[in-house]
Amino acid sequence: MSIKIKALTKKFGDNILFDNISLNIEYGSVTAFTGVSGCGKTTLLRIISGLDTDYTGHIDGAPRPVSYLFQEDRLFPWYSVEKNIEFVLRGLLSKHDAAETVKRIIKDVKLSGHEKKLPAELSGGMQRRAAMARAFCHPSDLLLMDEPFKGFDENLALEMISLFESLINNTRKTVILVAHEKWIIDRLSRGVINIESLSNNAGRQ
Amino acid sequence: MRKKVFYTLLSVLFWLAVWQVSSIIINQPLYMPSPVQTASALFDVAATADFWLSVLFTFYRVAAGLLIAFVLGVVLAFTASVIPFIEHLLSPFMAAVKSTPVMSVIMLALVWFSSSAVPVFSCVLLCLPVFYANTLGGLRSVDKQLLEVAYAFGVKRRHALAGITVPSILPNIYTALSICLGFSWKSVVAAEVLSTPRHSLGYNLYATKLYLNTPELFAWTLTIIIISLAVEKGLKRVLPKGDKL
Repeated sequence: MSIKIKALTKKFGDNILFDNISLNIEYGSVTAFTGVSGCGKTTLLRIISGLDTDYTGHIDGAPRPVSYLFQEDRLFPWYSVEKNIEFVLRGLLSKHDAAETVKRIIKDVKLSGHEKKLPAELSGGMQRRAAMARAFCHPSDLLLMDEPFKGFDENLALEMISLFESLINNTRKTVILVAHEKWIIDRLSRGVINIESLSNNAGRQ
Repeated sequence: MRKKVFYTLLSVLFWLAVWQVSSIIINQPLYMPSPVQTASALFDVAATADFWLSVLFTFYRVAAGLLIAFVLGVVLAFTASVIPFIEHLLSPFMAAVKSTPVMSVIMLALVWFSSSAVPVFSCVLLCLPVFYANTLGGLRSVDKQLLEVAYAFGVKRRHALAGITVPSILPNIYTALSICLGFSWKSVVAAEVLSTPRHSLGYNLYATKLYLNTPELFAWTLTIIIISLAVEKGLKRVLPKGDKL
């Protein structure tokens, strides 16, 4: 079983980004998208997630809904950390289960004591971890992460990577991440797809 | 906080002094009653049952007018944000209503409705474009990136509405409400002066003019100012913030 992308063509105006590309992503795998900026990594994630539907071709077998750690944190400024996380569990888990899940993941990402704070009251790294917590605890079969560990120092990145591994190991989640750092890619993913080689925008900024 | 209260008190005292001094200089209660004369007139009228009935009924008209305008404005704005045709259809109407003089609205309402409905109608018509335009503006500026979060994670539409759309437009609605609070009291009382419903602040204002009772005119005006301010402060306290939703 896999996510099958067939004959995908994506244009921005007259600029053809992907011209009839096809690729497979195995269920349960961790795949990294790499390539220079502007080559279409984020665009491909958006297409797989269903957020971008302006393309021709077919995407088959992409699980819905998805957990998505966007490049930006995209936290709700009016909600506390715990409410930001709880929000994506609404309707999926019972109130009690959601509260338990939120409590656990906040502890995991080391934000205990900050659960009642608004995003604006947190540092950049803490906001990133809150967004990460939201994506990690959401019970979907597909996890998309756009430069998840960007802005973390190496120690924190290592801690979050261990957390990610421990959370992923017990599931059959399919994970696609965008990353530039070779050591992160080597450690996390079994498959690397260089989007640059698929894109017409290779080497362009 | 204490400093703020102190400064407010100080500036109120300053304007009271200006008022007192000008009334002493003019020395004609018919033109300019002093604060003391106004206060005593206020105590006199406040002792009557009619005063409280008038306050109650005018308050009720303001509340009814605001509520109807709010519901209509928000519902129309939501509809217009989903169906562009509705926005086009409403735009000349809203533009016309916005530039229509208050008095024209009241005059027309006098022809159409019973005396008690005139103030409510005037208030609705004046406040509707404000609620509509502010809500529509808010809906337009809801952060698409946040809506994408809800969509990607499979959050149901009603949860997205309550959790993203409503908190996003709340500041716009509060702005509209604070504009309309002032509007509503002014338009309701003005309409009452002309339509003279039995129990109303407007009717009492009208009566003071008939009898050239300027201290009482000041007293009724002061009443309106005080209630209007109290309502505004009270609303600010009870209205929910985004994180309570």
